[in-house]
Amino acid sequence: MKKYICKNEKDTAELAKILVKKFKGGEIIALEGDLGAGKTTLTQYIGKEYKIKKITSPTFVLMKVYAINNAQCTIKNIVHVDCYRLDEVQELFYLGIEEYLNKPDTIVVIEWADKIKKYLKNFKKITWIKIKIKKNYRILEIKKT
Amino acid sequence: MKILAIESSCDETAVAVLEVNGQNYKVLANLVSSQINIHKKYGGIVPEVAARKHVENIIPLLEEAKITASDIDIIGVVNGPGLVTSLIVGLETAKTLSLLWQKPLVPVNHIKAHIQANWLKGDSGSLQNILFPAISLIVSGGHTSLVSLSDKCKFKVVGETRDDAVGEAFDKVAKLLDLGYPGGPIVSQKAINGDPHKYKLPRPMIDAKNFEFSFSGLKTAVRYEIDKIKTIDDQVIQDMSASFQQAAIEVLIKKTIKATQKYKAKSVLLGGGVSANNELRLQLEKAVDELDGVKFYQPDLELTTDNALMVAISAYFEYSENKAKYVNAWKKVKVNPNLEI
Ligand SMILES: Nc1ncnc2c1ncn2[C@@H]1O[C@H](COP(=O)(O)OP(=O)(O)O)[C@@H](O)[C@H]1O
Ligand SMILES: [Mg+2]
Repeated sequence: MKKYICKNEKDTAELAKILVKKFKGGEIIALEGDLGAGKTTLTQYIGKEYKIKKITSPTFVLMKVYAINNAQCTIKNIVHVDCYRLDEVQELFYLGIEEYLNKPDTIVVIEWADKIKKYLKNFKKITWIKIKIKKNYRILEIKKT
Repeated sequence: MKILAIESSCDETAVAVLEVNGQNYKVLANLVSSQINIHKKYGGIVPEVAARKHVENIIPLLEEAKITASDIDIIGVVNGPGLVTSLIVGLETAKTLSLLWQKPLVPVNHIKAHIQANWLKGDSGSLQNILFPAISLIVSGGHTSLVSLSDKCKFKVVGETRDDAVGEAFDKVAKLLDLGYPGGPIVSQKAINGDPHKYKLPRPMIDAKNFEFSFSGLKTAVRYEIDKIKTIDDQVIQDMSASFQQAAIEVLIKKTIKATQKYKAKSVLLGGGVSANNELRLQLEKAVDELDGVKFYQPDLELTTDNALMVAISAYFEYSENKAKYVNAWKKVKVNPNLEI
């Protein structure tokens, strides 16, 4: 397990850069952390690395798919999932999430992933990131499975 | 012309029949079957449950509307944005009727329909005479946008939220204050007796030169404030609700007024689920009234939540612009959960 301290958003942006450098495709980023921890913010910075400018909270629609427009890049999609309003795991199935998990040309980022921990056991290449919110900084604990 | 309209994009199943003759209209049916009590149990929307309920609700609603093929001229249905599983139920029903009855099918954008609800006022009467250009503020659980209109069906997004929608922020603040579901209305209820200046909360992007919004920072600021307080009693809840609501509303209003001035709009139209918020209605109306020669429109309260009447008027406007386009549309129309304006 690795721990990062992010004092401000710039640090979070740096961390996103470090994460993205290691992506080969098929990765799943499973985010945990309370309201306001910075899950959407981290996802936005991951998106920025791929020149995706407008990532917004997926809480309402539960899943958003963003295309990466770069012929040189083998990763073609970022899928942003939010389990905040989900109650049962099988609900995700109806949204077509299965198509994207571990797909070689796709990165899936999941907010409130702790709610579907069991389901995610069926997949590989998962990076769990737990964000703890402190008064003036965030602690990000990163664990790969 | 009589329009049958169906809406099932989120957690309400709705069917409406609207008659429009020239400038006059009459509501023949406006039925909604809400799932709010089911979702209350879960504290949120469950897509599969929502879809199943839409299936159960839609036929009884159509029966209740008492329509037959000979009663209607066109069918309007929302094909996005929304939850894919829910949207499919409405669209497949509408497609089937369109084929069976040989009536044109008009796909409707849920957000545009929220804006166009402003042309209706009451159960019958004449369509509002809204002057262009117009600026519309759309506020809901999934959207926060400023849209300019050069005509009834000509829209252009001039600004949107960068992160959370304002309705989502209301819901999340409700969660932080442990207020239950649906959070937004409870927060505004609690705010009535609260002090809007008790807690100093940020007004994100209020002075930015663009028309974009951001509400994640406001949500997070509420969280920080709550963390500082030892006991969260009802007074705290009321004051926090009022302070949050005021911060959110101020940003919405200031940006709407700026956009109105920049685009020299003659009308300001409010729309979307959060437009039921009384403080927002009052304060925005007041701010628009202070501008010279700009008229303020807000939808009837029953048209702020998801409904099919707004879908009917939207389908009517779209159909009137290009009739040929919709004749065999049932063959091609697809749902698009991320449909843009
Ligand atoms: N170090 C940091 N990393 C990420 N966000 C931060 C940081 N410091 C402050 N923030 C702010 O906290 C908020 C996090 O909100 P958001 O990303 O929506 O959280 P979540 O999605 O976890 O609910 C943003 O307003 C962001 O600007
Ligand atoms: Mg989030």
